[in-house]
Amino acid sequence: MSVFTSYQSPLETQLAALGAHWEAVSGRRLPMDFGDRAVEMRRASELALGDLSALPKLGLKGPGAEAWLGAAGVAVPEEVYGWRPFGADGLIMRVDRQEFFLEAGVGSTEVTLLAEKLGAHGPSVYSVARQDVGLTLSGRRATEVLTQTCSYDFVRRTSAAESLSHEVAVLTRIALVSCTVLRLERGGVSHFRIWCSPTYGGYLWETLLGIVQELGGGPIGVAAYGTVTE
Amino acid sequence: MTLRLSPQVDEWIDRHRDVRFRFEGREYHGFVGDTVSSALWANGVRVLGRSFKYHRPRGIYSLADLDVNAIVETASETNIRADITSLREGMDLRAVNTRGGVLGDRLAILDRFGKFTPVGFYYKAFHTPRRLFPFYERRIREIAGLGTVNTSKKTAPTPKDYAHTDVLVVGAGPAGMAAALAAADRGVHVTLVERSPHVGGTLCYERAGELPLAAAQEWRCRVGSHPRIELRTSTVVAGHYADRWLALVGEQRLTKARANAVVVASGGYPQPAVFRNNDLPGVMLASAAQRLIYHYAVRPCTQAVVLTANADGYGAALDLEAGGVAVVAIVDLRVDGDSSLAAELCRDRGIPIRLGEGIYEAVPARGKRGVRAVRLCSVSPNESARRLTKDIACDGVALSVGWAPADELLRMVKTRMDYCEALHQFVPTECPLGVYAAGRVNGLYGGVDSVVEDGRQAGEAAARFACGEEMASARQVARTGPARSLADPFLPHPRGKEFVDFDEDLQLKDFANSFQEGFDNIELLKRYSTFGMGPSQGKHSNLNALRLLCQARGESLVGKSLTTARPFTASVSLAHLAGRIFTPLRRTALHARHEALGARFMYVGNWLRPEYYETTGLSRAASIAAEATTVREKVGLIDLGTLGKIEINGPNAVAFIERIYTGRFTKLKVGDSRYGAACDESGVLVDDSVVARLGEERFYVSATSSGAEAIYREFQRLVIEWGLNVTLNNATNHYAALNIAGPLARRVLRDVTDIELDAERFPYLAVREGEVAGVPARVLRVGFVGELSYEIHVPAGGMLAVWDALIEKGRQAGIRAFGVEAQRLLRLEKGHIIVGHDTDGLTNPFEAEVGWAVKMDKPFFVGQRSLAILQQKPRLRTLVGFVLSTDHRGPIPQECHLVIDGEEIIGRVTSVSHSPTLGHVIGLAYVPPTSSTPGTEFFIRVDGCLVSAHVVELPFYDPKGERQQVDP
Repeated sequence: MSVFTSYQSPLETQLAALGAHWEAVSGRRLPMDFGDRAVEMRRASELALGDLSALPKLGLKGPGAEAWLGAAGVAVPEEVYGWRPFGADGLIMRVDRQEFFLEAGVGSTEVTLLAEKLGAHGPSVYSVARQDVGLTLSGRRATEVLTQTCSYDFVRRTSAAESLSHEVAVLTRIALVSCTVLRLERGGVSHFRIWCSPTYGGYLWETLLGIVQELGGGPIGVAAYGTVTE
Repeated sequence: MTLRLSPQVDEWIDRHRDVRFRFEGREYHGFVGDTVSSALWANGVRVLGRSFKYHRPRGIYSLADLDVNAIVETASETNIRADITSLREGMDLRAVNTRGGVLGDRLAILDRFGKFTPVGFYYKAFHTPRRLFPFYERRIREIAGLGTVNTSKKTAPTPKDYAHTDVLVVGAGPAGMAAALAAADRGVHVTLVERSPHVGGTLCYERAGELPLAAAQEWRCRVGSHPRIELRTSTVVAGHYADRWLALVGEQRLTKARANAVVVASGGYPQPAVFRNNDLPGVMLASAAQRLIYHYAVRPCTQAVVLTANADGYGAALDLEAGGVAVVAIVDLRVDGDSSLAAELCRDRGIPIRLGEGIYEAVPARGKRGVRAVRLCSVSPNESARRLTKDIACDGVALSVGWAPADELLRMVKTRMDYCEALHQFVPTECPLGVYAAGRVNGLYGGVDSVVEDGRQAGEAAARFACGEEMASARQVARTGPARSLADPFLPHPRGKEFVDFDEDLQLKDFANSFQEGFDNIELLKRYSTFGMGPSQGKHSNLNALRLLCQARGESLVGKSLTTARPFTASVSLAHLAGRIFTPLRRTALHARHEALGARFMYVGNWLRPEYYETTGLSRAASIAAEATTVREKVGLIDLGTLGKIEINGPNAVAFIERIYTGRFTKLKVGDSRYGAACDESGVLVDDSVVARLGEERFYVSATSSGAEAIYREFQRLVIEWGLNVTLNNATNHYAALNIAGPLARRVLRDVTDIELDAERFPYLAVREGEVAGVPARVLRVGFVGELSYEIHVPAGGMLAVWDALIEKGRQAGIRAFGVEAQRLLRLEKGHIIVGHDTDGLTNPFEAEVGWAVKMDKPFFVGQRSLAILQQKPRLRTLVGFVLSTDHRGPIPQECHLVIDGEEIIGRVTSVSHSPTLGHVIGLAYVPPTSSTPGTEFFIRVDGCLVSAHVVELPFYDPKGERQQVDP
């Protein structure tokens, strides 16, 4: 239900005002860059904010969700808020005992195919619309933005945080907006995926970008985001 | 720089970097690393400010953030603490609160009239005549004020941030450093917070004339380089809250820090001795003199008298001599003197020591701009037995008569502080879990070794607690004498001016007067006399005030406590507190389109919704009327993205819905929808929804915007409580919705959807799934605004495409967007209520005239029992429709205006508007059932007038529902 081709990001206006260049990738219109990919690639490792809302997403909910995914050949994370890679650069996250969230990687079609396979519902499993705004906050100084907006310890200096043996997603508030945050590591640099309600997307983007720019960073497109995840 | 000394070991100034600045119109030079006060003192400037009430000259007193009378301002910034503010190139400073400059302050004359302005004088003198009080109040505030706020100043951003740590140590003195190192060596992350720019604390300036300890240098190096110690200098821990949250105030920002354990090693505040003219420039705490010498290489004075009651005073005397000051006398208030090594050294050097004496008064220099001599007296418990002993010429007095623990951060979290008779001061006896005290604040005043050991133990205990290895805060502390604090540091003088509180210019007599007037409790005394209410928050006066009160009451301090400590312990700028302003606002998927159409937005909760769309040349009312007319005559579009949207799936879905809503749903066919009223357990109407059946076990509920979150929470609670096999999903954020309404709605929609729309295939109250503009959609045929209309629900990311397609296809039909106000008007014409607008927190469905939706013969629904009881009772009020006469010309009632019968309030208006369709004012109001018969006249009070209204049948518009049958 939530996978369709005419999708437009809730941040369309904000991205257009920044001079976004759009490209259609696997039927989705993605902000590829803001004019200078070389600058954005450098920015991505220092401090950058990007919009990945257009990546296809799927939610599944119900007592039969795990079995249905298993039958579809999808390996699911065992613990709530745990996650696993899914397809090409996508991910699957368990957001409750009986609820899963899937997001496709750039250009990948696995989530779309899975959504088509499920339709509105299956045996005790229901398709759930996921229209989250999906952001990426990347770079060496990304935690500075989070410490200014969020009370959760993403810096992880404390012994309790260091002792976490694996990554799980965190439900917290950023700039007073409820968000799901996932910290990922690439080459020793953290980058964060942030999902929130699309109704707060514009506010959150403007708030975070303001801080990012104040700290010397800026927006990046999907092209530069690719360099973060490589 | 007349008083600058030769380079001192570990001095804080950088002599290679000159700083030019101005004070009171004159240019001076200082160094990078100087504070404003130290630079001025080095230049021979003694008068740095004027006191709050009497405008007496004041100089350096503590040099530790407590010099509340050395407050300066620039053209753009006010209330700058001169004693701690770093000197910056080009500063142009002046003292606050003067008339004619700090030296020629004309308000200094107030000092001569002190006897007429005792404590509380304004309460007594200016209350009559009452009309003049504002005049007096203004004048008093002008005279006694601090700086003037420059409201046009553009402020720099001061974002707050969060920090997390295992152990947070407050204070980087010997105990704090030892605690930090001990904790970090155990492998935990430590944040060490120090209010001054450098670590070391008293080790840096309490040297007894010697070089700094070699060990101190090593500790400082280790603290600075330890990989697990995060050092935050120039940062004040200003607040301590439950669960070990602390407010760290740095130069740029406020940090909210969360620690697993806290070590408070904040030291102590040296306390003043109270004698006549103890506030003259040149009279200062010994620690201030030591700081001047060692931190800033400034000679405090030329000839000094040291007034002491402990070994620290002797050490200070040695430091003064090392700083080039001739110590002309050590005046020891104790008859037995001191046996410390420092005292021995003083004797060896031939410094005159006078035992059992105190300072009777400091003799002022011209204009009270300094001290010229001190007059000594013998000390006796019996005041009348005191006798003058000697006058000693000097230009400086250093005071070391005792300490008060810097325990605010401990007391804020309810640490128990008990008075220790042996030490003559308060000590912590019971700390909250995870909070530890160390060093002087813990009552340890012995040598460095004992303080360091105390810090080490506290640090280790904190680290164990932080790791969950130890869950207790109690430690054995060996506090040994002799006492470093004097129990009675007061030397009254018949002519007064013995200052206890420098913030508020409170003298000994003010405390005596307050007590005499009945303020014999420490909290009352504080509020009446205002001690402790100035910028230093009584750090020099709280303990002495309590001592005075206990003296007056003839009681011991044992069992007594200081006034309540609350955040903040230090001055914090409003900019720091403000930080960034986060105000989350929700926007619908169509927000950009509304902006483009000239929408005037309104707040609905934290949603931004179009109230109406501005039309050139039309007023607000006319714009709303035009939107409503378009819907009635052509076709309109409204954004319903804010509606609650809940999916209820599963084998027990219908059973769940039956229990939630008052109506029947078991027989609701797939593809149909029905109105659902929901009550709480007391029978109050809390929400109304459209419940649509998408499949045998699949329902989609469109709930009210305002109640969406609350009802979903309630759904979650009940599904668990009832143990039903139901899968709930709150799709409110992920679905967008709009309503296309009007006689031409079907024609416009037909072109962009694959759903069959003709009346037979898609009748009133049906629901269909299909595509609209290529986007998967759920379409409900509802009639809230009283016209043929389709509520289209699509995933939020597809709504722009749907809206654009409908606008494009509807252009020929004259489609236009309509806002919330037009919708409210249209549904009012149709007589539909809005829950929360036409109902309140007590309204039941019968009163709101939706009793038709309540099926009391069902086995169960939430609120059923209460409604059964209410049904047996006489109804108190009924919602009715009313009209004003067509020739009404007076003021139009507004929502919440009262319905009046004689002198009685008998009801209120809930909705009212002028109907462009009907040509007169219509509304809904609660009235008694006796007044609810159509045709009954009642009166609404509007701006003091009574407006006549008549009850009419609902709905006002299209009573036969024919508008749903139109087939354009």
